[in-house]
Amino acid sequence: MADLEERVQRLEAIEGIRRLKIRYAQLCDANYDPPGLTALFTEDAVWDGGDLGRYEGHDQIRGFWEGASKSFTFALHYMIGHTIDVDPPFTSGTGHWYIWEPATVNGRAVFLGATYDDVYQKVGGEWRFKQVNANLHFFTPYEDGWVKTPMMPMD
Amino acid sequence: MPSERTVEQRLQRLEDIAAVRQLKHTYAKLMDAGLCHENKAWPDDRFLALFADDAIWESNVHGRHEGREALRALFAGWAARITFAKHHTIAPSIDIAPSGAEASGHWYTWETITADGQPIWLAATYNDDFVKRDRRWLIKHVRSNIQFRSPYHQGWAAEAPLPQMGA
Amino acid sequence: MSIEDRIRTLEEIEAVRRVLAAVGATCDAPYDGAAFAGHFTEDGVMDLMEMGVYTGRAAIQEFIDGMRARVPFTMHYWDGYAIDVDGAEATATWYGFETPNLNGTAHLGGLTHDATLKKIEGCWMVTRLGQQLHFMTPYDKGWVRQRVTDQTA
Repeated sequence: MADLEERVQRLEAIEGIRRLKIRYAQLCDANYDPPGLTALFTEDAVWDGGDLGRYEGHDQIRGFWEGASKSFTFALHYMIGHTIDVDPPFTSGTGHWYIWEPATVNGRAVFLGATYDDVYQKVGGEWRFKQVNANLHFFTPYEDGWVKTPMMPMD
Repeated sequence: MPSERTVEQRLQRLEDIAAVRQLKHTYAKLMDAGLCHENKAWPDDRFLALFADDAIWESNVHGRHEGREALRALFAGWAARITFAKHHTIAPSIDIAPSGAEASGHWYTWETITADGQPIWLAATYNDDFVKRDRRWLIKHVRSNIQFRSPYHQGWAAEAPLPQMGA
Repeated sequence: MSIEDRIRTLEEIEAVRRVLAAVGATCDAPYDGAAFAGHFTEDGVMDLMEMGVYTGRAAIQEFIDGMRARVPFTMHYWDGYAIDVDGAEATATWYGFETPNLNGTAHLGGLTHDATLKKIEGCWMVTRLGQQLHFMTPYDKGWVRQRVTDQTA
């Protein structure tokens, strides 16, 4: 049995990572706040969305959010459920989440469904994203649904 | 919080809540990985290992299924019809029994499903029981109250409400 | 902070999450105005912006029971909590979506919420609950064609 200190650290790490993910959602919903979102990533982080593109390092990641803020004029990022795994010394962790996202993209209502596989790292006492893998399940015009149009073109 | 509980016991309760929360998420994640076009060998042993041997799965729509083999048959029936599913499993409320060996939990689920080639919204609540055996939490009893199963192009106001199970 | 204080903080975050989950469940159909209002302090405030501000348990209960008469079905999917606890006070923000039947038409609602709470005699009570309505759209339209249907009409 791990000692009390270690056990408390584990739960605090899970809570800290949960807060990081919710902060990410809130900044996405505040028109993607590119500087705010970029600051949640480590300098060498990777955001990999498959068909949505792969962005490495602060400059590319900021550029991605700047583009998103122009095409996504409205979004609600519902971050749902999670498994978060951390091990001593609790300076890194992994997580799995669902997201369900109603959004307005280039003037059209869309539903986006995805899961995330994340890697987290603690930098200067704060949890940051080291890697975000967004696995898109559907990106469908509101009128169509995920059978008729599972993936609409991004532009 | 009763003050007679030790720091160790209080910490154990928080760890158990976290473990049950992760177990339910894993249930959703493995089910969704199974219910897809590519996978016809589901449910696999990894998924069924989340359940106690004598576990029960019941809903107001699917009836009651008891024991691991009955669960295997139930889930295999879904896999035959469902080619896409995402169980967005929301808002955990988890109680750990004073014994520390049993727990109950309530969730909402908001599901995007493709069944028989048709897109469907499914909304439900879960009132589940869990049991800790050999220091591992297992699903003991899933009670799913389905609120609606609605074709995507129709929405959920057109149908009569589904009868609900008691708590 | 001592181990005990750190555990207490984690316990209180969990306790606030539980209270807010209970608040959400009592405004699922059939709405339970008394149970909902019972989670507020006597002088608690519910600020629904365009849907009005309700002060005190009686006014909050009356509003929720009024919804019960108008809305035969809804579910409140609340999650994504960010909770901060400072002694006997707490703040929270979270996300919610709703699936009401309004006037015979399925609707989809997207909202965010915030709350302040106070711990009184061992129970977390809501002193203020806020709501930001992003859309409440007839299901056959979507939030671009019709962002908000008036739920109180």
